[in-house]
Amino acid sequence: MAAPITPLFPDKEARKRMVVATCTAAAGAGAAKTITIPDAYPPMDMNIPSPVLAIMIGQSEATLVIDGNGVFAIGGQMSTTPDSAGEFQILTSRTISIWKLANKTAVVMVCYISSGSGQKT
Amino acid sequence: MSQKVVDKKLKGEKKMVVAPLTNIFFPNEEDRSLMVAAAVSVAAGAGTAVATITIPSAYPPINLNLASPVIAILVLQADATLLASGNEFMTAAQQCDGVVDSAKEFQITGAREIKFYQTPAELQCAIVFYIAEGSGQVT
Repeated sequence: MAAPITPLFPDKEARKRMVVATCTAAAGAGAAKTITIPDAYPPMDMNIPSPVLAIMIGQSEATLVIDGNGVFAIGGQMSTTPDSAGEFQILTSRTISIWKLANKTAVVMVCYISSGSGQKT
Repeated sequence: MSQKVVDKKLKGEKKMVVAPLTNIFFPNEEDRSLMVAAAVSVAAGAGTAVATITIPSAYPPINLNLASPVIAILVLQADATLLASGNEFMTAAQQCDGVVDSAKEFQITGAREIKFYQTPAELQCAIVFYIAEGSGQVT
């Protein structure tokens, strides 16, 4: 298991800046995969320790497999490279590394706190 | 910039399939404090056809005074045996100002109605994240 952080849930003011972004994840089983927040959305607020509230991935290939759909909770945020189910690491204001179980492409939804209304990283 | 000016500007920017809106109108912090997540079901269509999402009256209506009030849409197949594209997500940047005709495109057609391009001919459930006009439920 990677090194987890102690989640500090965003306060009320920060939660007013929540964003729900959608993107895609490449196929790959038992591997860390990087997802990228599209430019259509503002970047994550890197000034708070736990800006990602939840991540959900949905298989986007035919015939659902075990773990084709999955979720990541705020407590799954790591300070090092993820290597187990439910783990993720925030790499930059637009990239997150997630531990992927199913060898299927997936669509991804990320609920996070942004740094504002702009779109600059 | 007034909404009329914004609309006029958008109509002049037809660069892609069905004239998607530019993404420069992402809702600001104040508007995002009014975000709603609505859960709905979507009937199976003909496949690769336009389908309709109706925001239930249990939720406040979409704020049509914003250029891009819909933040994200998630549709999940609710029938057995997942098909390719049975699960799909749409981003704020995939909002179009014409009738949708390609995967992942959607158009806001009313304060409670969104048209999107449904790929599989399957029953789906959906979650729509959007900015509401307020806490009331009057359309």
